[in-house]
Amino acid sequence: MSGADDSSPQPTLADIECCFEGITPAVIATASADGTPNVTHLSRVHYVDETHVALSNQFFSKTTRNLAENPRASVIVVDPQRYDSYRLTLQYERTERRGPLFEELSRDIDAIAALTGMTEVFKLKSADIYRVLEIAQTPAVGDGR
Amino acid sequence: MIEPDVVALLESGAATMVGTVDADGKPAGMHAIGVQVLDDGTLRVALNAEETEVLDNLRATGVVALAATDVPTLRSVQVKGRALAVEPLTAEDRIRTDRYLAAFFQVVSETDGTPLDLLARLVPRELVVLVMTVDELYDQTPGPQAGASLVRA
Repeated sequence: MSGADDSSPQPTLADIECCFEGITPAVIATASADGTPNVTHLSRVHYVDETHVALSNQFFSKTTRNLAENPRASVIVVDPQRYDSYRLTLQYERTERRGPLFEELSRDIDAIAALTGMTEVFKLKSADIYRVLEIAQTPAVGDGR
Repeated sequence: MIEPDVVALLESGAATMVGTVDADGKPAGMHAIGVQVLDDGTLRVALNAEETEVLDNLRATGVVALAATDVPTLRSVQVKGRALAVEPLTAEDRIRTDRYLAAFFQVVSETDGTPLDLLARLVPRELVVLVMTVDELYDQTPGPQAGASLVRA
């Protein structure tokens, strides 16, 4: 674990809820079965409950293929108020293509698409649900300049 | 061979990140602090020296993905390669990373209004440099062309 202070208790998803407002893009790293990593941005990570998050699957096809082979992911989220970063270690659990969560994520993607001029490109395919195995604050920053 | 426009993107104030994997297949990603494309086609990538999980992965398996996204346009590329070394910054690296951070913070601030002093909290206390190969290069811009190879035959 690479937390900034190993003596600190691990933060909970509720502690870092502001990271899930979609203000600062997240980063997701996955790996294929043969161990080739992939990394890309995510527009938003959604809080589902105290142990789960949802990721919107629009078009990150390599990420999707990797998760079908190897259901683990590493996501970096940023607190938009303090710019603290957290690494979430995730385990893929299931995909939803209808229902309230899917609809919520779909509305969110449509809003982001409108803001970024990507209406013809951003279209939600599924809401992917992950169990959060670990949350670690990334090493402290801010005094490096 | 990396096309000049891709070199320009990689060396700009783009949002950069790396993905790694440990020997058991567990991935770990992190933000990167700018890229330099060398004449031999390898990359020098500045990373937070305190991100031990990612650095351990680089030393253990050596496989790495690097992505760069132009903040205002979302034009993106992804590199797949191998770590050749993780080494201390040179004086030139330090100048380059300072220049990168200034450019990145400026474009983010202009794009979404984030104050520059808040963005400064992203600056690591210590940096190291990853030297990596470019074995594969892909367009990762959102849209139907995403995943297309950008390596010239």
